[in-house]
Amino acid sequence: MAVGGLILSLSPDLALRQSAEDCVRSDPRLEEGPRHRLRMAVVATTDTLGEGHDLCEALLAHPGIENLEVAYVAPEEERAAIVLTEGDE
Amino acid sequence: MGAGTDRRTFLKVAAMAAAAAALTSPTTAFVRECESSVPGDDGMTWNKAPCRFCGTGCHVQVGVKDGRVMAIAGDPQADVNKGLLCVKGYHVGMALYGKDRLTEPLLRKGDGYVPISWDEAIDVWAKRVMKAPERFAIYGSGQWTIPEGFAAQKLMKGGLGNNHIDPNARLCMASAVTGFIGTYGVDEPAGCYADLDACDVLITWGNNPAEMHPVLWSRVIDRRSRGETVKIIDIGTRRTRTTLQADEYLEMLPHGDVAIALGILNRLRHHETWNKEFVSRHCNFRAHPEGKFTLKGVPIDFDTWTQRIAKYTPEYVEKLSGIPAEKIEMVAALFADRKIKITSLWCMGMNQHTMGTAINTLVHGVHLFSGHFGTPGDSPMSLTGQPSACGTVREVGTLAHALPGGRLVANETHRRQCEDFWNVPRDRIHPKPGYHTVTMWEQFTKPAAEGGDIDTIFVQVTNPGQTLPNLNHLFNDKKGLAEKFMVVSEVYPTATTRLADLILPAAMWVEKNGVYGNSERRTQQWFKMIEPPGQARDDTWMTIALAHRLMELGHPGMKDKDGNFLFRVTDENGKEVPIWKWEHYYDVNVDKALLEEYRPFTRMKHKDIAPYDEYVKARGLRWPVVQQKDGTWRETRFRFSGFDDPYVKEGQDLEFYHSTTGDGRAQIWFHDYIPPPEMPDDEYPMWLCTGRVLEHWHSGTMTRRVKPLASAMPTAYVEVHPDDARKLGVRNGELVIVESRRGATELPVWTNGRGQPPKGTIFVPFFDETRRINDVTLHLFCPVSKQPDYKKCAARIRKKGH
Repeated sequence: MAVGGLILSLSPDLALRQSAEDCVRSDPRLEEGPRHRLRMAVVATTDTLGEGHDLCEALLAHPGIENLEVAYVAPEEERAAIVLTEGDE
Repeated sequence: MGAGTDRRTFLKVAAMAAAAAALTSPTTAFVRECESSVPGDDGMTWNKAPCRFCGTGCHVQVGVKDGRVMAIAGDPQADVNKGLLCVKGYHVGMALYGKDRLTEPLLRKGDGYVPISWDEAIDVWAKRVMKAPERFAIYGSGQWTIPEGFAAQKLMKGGLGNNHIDPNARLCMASAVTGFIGTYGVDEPAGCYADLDACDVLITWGNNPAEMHPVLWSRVIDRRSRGETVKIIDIGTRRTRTTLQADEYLEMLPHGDVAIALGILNRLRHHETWNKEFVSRHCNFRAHPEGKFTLKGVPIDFDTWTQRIAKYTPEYVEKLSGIPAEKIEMVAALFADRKIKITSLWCMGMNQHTMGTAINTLVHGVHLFSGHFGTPGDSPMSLTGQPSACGTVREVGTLAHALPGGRLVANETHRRQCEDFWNVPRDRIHPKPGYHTVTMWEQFTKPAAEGGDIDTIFVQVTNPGQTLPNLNHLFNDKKGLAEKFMVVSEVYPTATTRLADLILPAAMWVEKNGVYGNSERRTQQWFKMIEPPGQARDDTWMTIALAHRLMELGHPGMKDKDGNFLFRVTDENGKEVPIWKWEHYYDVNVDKALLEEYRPFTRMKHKDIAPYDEYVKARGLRWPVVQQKDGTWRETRFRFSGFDDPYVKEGQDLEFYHSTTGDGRAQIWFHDYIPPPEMPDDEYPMWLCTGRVLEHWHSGTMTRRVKPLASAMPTAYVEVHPDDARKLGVRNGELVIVESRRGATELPVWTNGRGQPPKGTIFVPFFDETRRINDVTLHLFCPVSKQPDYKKCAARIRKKGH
């Protein structure tokens, strides 16, 4: 299990922004936090760091999310495996 | 509720708190008056410091309790970052606490090391230098503090009369230096980060600020969040996180930037949309003399320049760069628009380039030719990767050819000035430039019998065993050369210490006093806040202790004209303080003494810095800093601009007062496109590009010891286009060999990852010492700046066992 504190910069475009908000709310791994202007705090809880990594990449690929900053990363257990290989098989 | 759930809840709360705190400025709980260092209710003492990592120069608030850094927060009073930090910045305090900090001097004995005392260490080192002072070299860094670099510079050039001192910044921004000097006659950007707040168009030239300078990037993206329009044009060789937010992505062939800049100039000339008034008042035209590459070139007239630029039509540029002709027209049309403000941003992509000086001067030329220069938002702005590449390397002049204050060792007048400032005898400073980085390491790793005339090298605050290009040629050959002796000052074991003969444990960041100079000419000071671990000591002290031991051994250069120790520092009563003895080093503020000694040099090129105590009060000040009639000190945001720069003559809107042509004008250069020295072929069919990642800072020696960062990005990888991966029969995550004519390394494949190279190109970050991509890279360099090209060479991938 891994927990990340993320900051999403949402699109100024209302439709894209709403689509991004829906995406966050519909994903059980994501918990919406406070907002400031177009920036939204989100907590991501995933089974592995690799999954967390992939989730970040998926969020960044969303057209309604302009930027993603990582403010906090906490793996519950230390992993020696290569993150990139996880979840790929 | 089980223990696992409790921990998960705790981590989620902590994660939300961290993310929420970073949404805006940090909460008031993090804010303290840094000048007073008053302990808060939490028992923590807070003080200010610039971040230890990149050249952005964010200020952090450092919370100390029980002699340990316990908390880090963005500094809301800092103009650079306005309270924000990137993921590395939030973790900067943890970089102090890796389990394997070096805590005692270590001397090589056979294949291992034995601990020795500091006295022994200084003695071994000094005797080694005394054997052949002219065969000693120092390899330093843009992570040197200004006093550290100034002390090393003075020891070498003002003491030993030896110019073999060069920094790792040669590897990251030397081409920016030659670009600025070739264009304006003086180094460093005219503008500042405020340009990012004012531009209408931002062009990133081979630059990925979303990962490498994230706080600056957030400044731009935040403007969009406020409803402002900022058009972003990303020119690069692979898609990055910067590309994600770009309005236009121009994917060029490696080396294509030179052609693109020439194409923009061609279009401005062709359409008669260049800014005639600006050019006629402020610019000359320049080119290299026939068959030679020089820093200052020769004058050419406008017609000649026009004739030379004529062949770079959009169609020809498309062939050279891969950028469609209409996109060249599009960018040129933006530069033709007088109503908008354009800022160009670049870093290693343009600098680590065999045409590094050329592309730098050409981008300056695009801004000058179009008149997009000199007002807020209209600016060609280079960024640096290290926290004091500007302050310590470019301003203190810790390069093999330079002296402090923009002086040159080859210039007799300059040598005289420096000898006078240092109060050392005439002809103490050697007139011949020393070895630049690549030559220095070639000479060190070559046996003496074969002409390798550097015998002893001191590596301070850097990691050449990982960051030099073509390591098998420039570094790894040191192994087994018993006659060569490498002294390394470090905080952790690194790829460099593995071949060191003497390892000196160093204090790091807030374990010592310091002064940095960031990318926007901002000088920043901090105080020591905690004790270094074990016997680790300040780098400035090491240099001074060596100098004193050399004096005891009879080296005449360690005394000034009056017979005093070269680094004599006195107390308020005028009594010399024995700062070469560690127990007395902090009896006075040595940083302050050295900075005040350095200040007169800074006025030589109008890069005036303020008294030390002014920096204690400020979150940095951008030079030139000049005193006002009321006694206060005023910084300069926009250099050469009459509305802000105190050195521009009254009544002038713009003046390049260090013009190489002596007429107040900048130079618009012409350079012909020259193909890269190594290109993919049948044997090595792919382009290899190297660089950095968000989570790790440079060679990763600090950030890979920060668990959250190491966990987020544990290993280097090779980015491969999915079609290339399919063709090679390799899957995501599979280990492959990346190799060139120079060497090989093993890496996992990453397709469709954070960065996405086009077909035929691969990218590898250099942060991972267990997978050293610089065993593979090329060490050929720009003929003017001597900066190697890490961004392109021919390579191939093969499956393991094939």
